[in-house]
Parts: sequence; C-alpha cells; structure tokens
Amino acid sequence: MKTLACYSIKGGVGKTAAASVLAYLAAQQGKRVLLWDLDPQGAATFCFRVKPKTRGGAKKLLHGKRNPVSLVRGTDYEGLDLLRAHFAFRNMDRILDETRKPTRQLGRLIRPLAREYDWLIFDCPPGITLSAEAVFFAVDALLVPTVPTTLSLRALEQLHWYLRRKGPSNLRVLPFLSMVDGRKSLHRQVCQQAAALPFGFLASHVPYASEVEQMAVRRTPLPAYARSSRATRAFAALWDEVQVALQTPAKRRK
Amino acid sequence: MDKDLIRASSLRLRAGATPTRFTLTADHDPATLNHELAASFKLRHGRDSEREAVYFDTFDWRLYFKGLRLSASEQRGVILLRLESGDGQLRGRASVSTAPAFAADLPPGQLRDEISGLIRMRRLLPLVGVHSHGETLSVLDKQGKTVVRVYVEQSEAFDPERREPRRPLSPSVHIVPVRGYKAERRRLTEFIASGLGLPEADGDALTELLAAIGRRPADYTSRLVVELDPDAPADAALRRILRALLDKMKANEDGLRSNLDTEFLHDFRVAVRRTRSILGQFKDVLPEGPRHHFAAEFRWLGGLSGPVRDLDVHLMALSNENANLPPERYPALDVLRDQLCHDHDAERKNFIAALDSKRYARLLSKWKTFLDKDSGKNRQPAAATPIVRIASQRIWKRYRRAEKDGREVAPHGEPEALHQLRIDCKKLRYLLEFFRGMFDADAADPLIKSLKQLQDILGEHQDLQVQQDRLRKTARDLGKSRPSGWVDALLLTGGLIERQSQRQATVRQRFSAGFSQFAHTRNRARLRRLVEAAGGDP
Repeated sequence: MKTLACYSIKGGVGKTAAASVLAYLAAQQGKRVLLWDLDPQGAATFCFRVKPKTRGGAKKLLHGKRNPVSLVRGTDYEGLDLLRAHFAFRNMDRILDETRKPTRQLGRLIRPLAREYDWLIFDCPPGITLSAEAVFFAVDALLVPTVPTTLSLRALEQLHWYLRRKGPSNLRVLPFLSMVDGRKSLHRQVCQQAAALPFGFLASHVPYASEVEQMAVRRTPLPAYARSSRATRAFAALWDEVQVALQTPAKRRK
Repeated sequence: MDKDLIRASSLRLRAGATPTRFTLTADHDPATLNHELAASFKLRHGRDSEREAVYFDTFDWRLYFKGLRLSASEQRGVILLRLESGDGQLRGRASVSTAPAFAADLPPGQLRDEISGLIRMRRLLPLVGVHSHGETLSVLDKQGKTVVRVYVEQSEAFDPERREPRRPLSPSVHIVPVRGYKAERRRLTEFIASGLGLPEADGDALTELLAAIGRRPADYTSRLVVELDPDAPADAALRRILRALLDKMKANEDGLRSNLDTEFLHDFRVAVRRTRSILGQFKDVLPEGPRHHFAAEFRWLGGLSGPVRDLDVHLMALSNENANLPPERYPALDVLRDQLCHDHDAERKNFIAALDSKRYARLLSKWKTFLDKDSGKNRQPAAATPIVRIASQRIWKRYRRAEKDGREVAPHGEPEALHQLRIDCKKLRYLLEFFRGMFDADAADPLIKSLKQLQDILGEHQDLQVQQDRLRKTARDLGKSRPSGWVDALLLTGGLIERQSQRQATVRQRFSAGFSQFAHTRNRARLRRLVEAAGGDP
C-alpha cells in the first residue's frame, strides 16, 4: 500500500479538493483506495455524502484499540472507500500525547489497512501539530498544495525547515501550485518561475476554477461531473506525476 | 403500506448469510421490480449497460476453495480484474493490459498480494464467461448517497473458447453491498425476499454460469477419492480404483496438450504411476496376461512423459536462480535457459506425438474394456479375497521393505540407493492413499504425514540429481552448438552443478532425521494396529 497525505501548514489551499479528486482518479484506474478524512471539519466526508462520526470510538482508535476498518464506509464509486471524519479528531493532539511514541502511532494504526488497499490518501487539517508530525512519520509522501502567493511559499519554506530538523529523512515532499488564477499577475509570475523555486515543485498546476468549488455543492468529486474540464485534466496530470514520483525509492533528505 | 411490508418482512428473514441473488419470476419483470422498489426506496437509475466478463481460477480451483472469485472485463481498452468474495464483496481490483496468467504478471498491489500466496506458480485459466445486459439501481440514503447497489440483469453464459453459442440464464437481481451499510443491505434483501416474494437464486453466480456450460465448481481435484467396501472382492475393488485413475488421465489430457500449466502433466503422470503401481503390486489379483501387457504399455507412456516433467521442474528451479546471481550473469542464464527450453520443446513434442498415436488410443480403449469386463476364467487365486485383507498385507510388506532399504542406505547412501528407497516410499504412499478410507484415520494419517516428509527429502535429492545430469548434458550440447554467449553459459553451468551438489549434500544430511521419524516404533505400532484391525497377520 502506498500512502500519501494532502497537507499544508496553511488552510484554504485546496487540500480537500486534491485529496478527493486524486482518490477518485486512482479508483477509476482500478486501484482500491481509502481516503482518510483526518480533518474534524469533515469536508471530504461531506463531499462524498457520508455522515461524519460525532461520538465514541476516536480515543480507542487513536490508542490502537479499535481497528480503523470499522469506521470505513464505501462511497458511490466502486473501489473508493472513505474513513470518515470524526469530530473528536479535533482533540487528536491531546489523545496522541497520551500514548507512547505519539508520532509513530498513526503508522501503527494504518498497518491493517495495507491488506485491503493499494492507496491510502489522507486529507489533513492545516497547521504544524503533533498529529501532523504523526502523519509525516506514517506516509510515503506529502502532497503540498501551494497557492502562488508570498505567504503560501513562506509556509512551504517553514515546512521544509521543520522537516529538516524533525521530520523523517525519507519522506518525499511534493509541492504543486494550486488555485492558480491566470488573471493575477503574481500568480502568473510565480508559475513562470516554478521550475526555479527551491522546493522541487511538480510540473502540474491546478487552476482556480469555479467547477472545483462546485464539488461541495454537488457533493461529487470533480471528474465525475466535469470529466474534461481544465481542472480535471490538471488533476489527472498531477496524479500521473505523483505515481511516477512514488515509484522511485525516496532519497534521504540532507 | 410499503413501510409495514418492510417491517413485517424483516421479522421473517433472519439467520444465515444474507442472500445476494434472486431470480425474477413471471410476475416480476424488470419494469415491475423497478416500480416496486421505487415505491419503497429512494433510487437512482443508472444507464442500461452491457458487460462481458470472464471468470478465472487455477486448474485445481485454489481461489474457489478460499471463497474467492476472480473476473476480468474489458473497459475502455484495459482489462479490469475484480476479486470478490462469494457474497459479492469487493476484495481487490487491478487493471492490466492482457488477460491474467500468472501471479507474477499482475501489477504490484493489493489484488496480487491477496492471490499470489494462494495460486503460487499455478496458471490462471479461464473458466466461464458471462455476457449481461441490464440496469444498475442505486439505493440512496437521506444524503443521496449510495448504500446498496442492485443489478437487474439478463445474463448469458459462454465457454471461454466461444466454441458454443451463449446459454441464456434466468433474469436475476444481484444485490451488491456497499461497505459499512449492512443494515440497509439487509433491509433491501428482506424486502425483495419476503416483501416481493422473489426466490433466492440457487448457488452463487459462478455456480450457475458453470452449470449452464455443463461444468460445476471444483469438478477436478488432484486427490484420488474412491469409496471402497472393505469386504468387496479385491479384483473388483482394484478395477474401481483403476477406472478412477483412467478418468484422471483423461481429465488432464486437454490441459497438458495446451501446455498452459505444468500441473496437468504432473497429475497425468501421477495417475499413470499409480496405475503402474497397482499393476506391479497385485500380481496375484489381476489376470496375468493382460497385466503384463498393460504394465509394459503404461511403462512406455510414463517413460515418455518423465523427461518433460523433469525439465518443467528444472525450468521452474532455474527461474529462482536470478535471485542468487549478480545481474551481469543473467545473459549467461538466458543462454542456458534457452537450451533447456529447446530440450523441453523436443521432449514435449515426442510426448504429444505419443498421445496422438494409434498406440495410445488403442491402449486407452483396450484398458477401458479390460476394466469393465469380468476376469472370467483368467481369475487369479486372490481375486475374490476381501480387498481390506489384501491391502493391509501389501501395506505391511511395503512398509517393512522401505524400512529395511532405508536402514541399508542411510546415512551415506549412493544417489541410486536413495532413489530406490524413494520408489519404495511412493508405492507405500499410493497404497495408503488408495485404501485410506477403509482404515482407521488415526493410524493411517500420521503415517502418511511422516512418509510425505521423508518423500519431500528424497524427492528434492532426486530432482537435484536429475538436474545435475541434465546440466552436464546441456553443457555438452552447448559445446557442440556454440550459440552466442556459450562460454559464459558453460562457466555458469559448472557453477550451478557445484551449487546443486552442495545443496544435495545438505539435503542428504536431513535424510537421517526424516527416515528416523518415518521408521519410528510408533509408526510401526500404528501400522500393526491397522493390519490387525483388518484381520491380517503382520
């Protein structure tokens, strides 16, 4: 099983959209995919029309006393399952902190899922917290949506700085430009210089598009209703890049 | 009314596995069913669609016995593989560009992980195809989310070779569960079963499809199971076993001709060897003239298939050698493999020619006639003796012989002596397996187990010996034909012979322990008990 986390220190950068669309595309390719909504807001859960869990079980789950499989729900799309958001995930840092080796807890938790899925994709909440650190140690790669603005690039720099000091050395970091608005000169400028940016950006840019926002209205993943839109094509190219990046063994970060 | 109907039907249908397939009756055509479901459930109608899929399993039904179904269907130019449990739960998916053959050909992922340990080196063979057209209905919850899927479809079965026209099946309703929505699935199932009164389909979909093309699941097993009456005359009982062995030979003939899986040849050979073993061990039961004739004919057949099987085993062993060699030696290994494949093709051609010969056809037809008729005036003295007595005597005698031979060769015996012991053990094993049903399983089974362990050691030893002999011959052939890269291949062959000789020495070291286990007094006591219980005198 390959594991990927859509993560960013900043909020509102398109993590949920990326996680949902990539999970859908992987399932369409014939893979078995689990999308784990770690965000207590449950946006991905909402988009797939699943009711979030509000009571009971989260503590046991995070303490490793409950099999995560019991929280899994099938979605409308064959091959794609969802581990729905739990409101108690808002206390995840505290619950993890009660365990031994809290940053390794999530990695232990996902082990039974490896027998059932080809891909596990996390939709993470924003911020650098203990739970984010647990995600860093559990996954093969971080997919970091980055809006082409100064503050987003600064957040990415902070992430790199943090991972150099405290992150696992073999974690791949795959930033990509998200919500690119061609009408804005700053966005255009950053996109043109993307290859020269220091963080190894993926080549695909996901445009800012109203049909992406429609996902929450339609509660359906983008490619299911806008198969050939520009945003869908951009996500498909991004997914191809992610797969290629994860085929090669990770280099140890210096 | 419908809610009451659902509630009432929920109470009636309980216990056991939730049925997943129902047959549509004359009162319930697809349109009526649609209407009735829509009155009680929130539905989304999918498009009418046509689909075609082919089910796969190994020749010995390894997936079926684990409750798994593997199907392949073509969608937009790629082949989508689905692994399901018997109740339709999805267990794995993968997309491939060509029809699946071996586990190693499947893309890495969860489906391959799930089945590779089960099927190992066996080939996936197409079992039956299904062509369906119909509609997919999604049952929705309040959020408009699919909680159960329903396929209302008309299917036709076809044999994968498409030699025969498609066979229509009764229209059916499939309930496909969505993970995490058990209650909703049960509610729908109960409504269809009790509320609408649709009959549950017999067996699962695969069973029904197979029945339509005249097959049934697990219609072939490598094991020989013949029920024998212990008091039956020996002559009649042996003929029953021999008839079952003839069926096994015939069942494997098509498969070994198509050369899709080496195991067809293996099972064919085992049936021939078992037949020869009976002809050789029951001289006082079977009439002498025909026995001599058929023993010679089956020896001819066994002799022709032996080299093909040896080369099958050798090529499989060679495919594991990659792991032991540095990549720069792979080209030399390829030259060696090509030479062995060349030999294999030649031996196989010989063997298939024998199967196509008049001699083989005559052998089978005469053999069948012999098995079906009574011995008459040629009846041998022990022909009327109860089989249980004869069998127990033979087993005891064969055990003592193996025990004696084993003590003489152990622990530093020559390869020939170990091979002889291997043959003794095989004969004993066949006897125990032929007549196992007549004896106390507590006595027979542990004996078979320890015999199997000893045979594994002896078999590995013999395979390594045969492979070394073959490599020497191959080296001579390479020296004569001198293909490109032959010098490196020769050097590699020398290294392989050396390594196999070392492995053989290691295997030989395990022989003493295996033999002691087999010849333990406990086993002898078990066997004594077995013979005495059968009224014999050890």
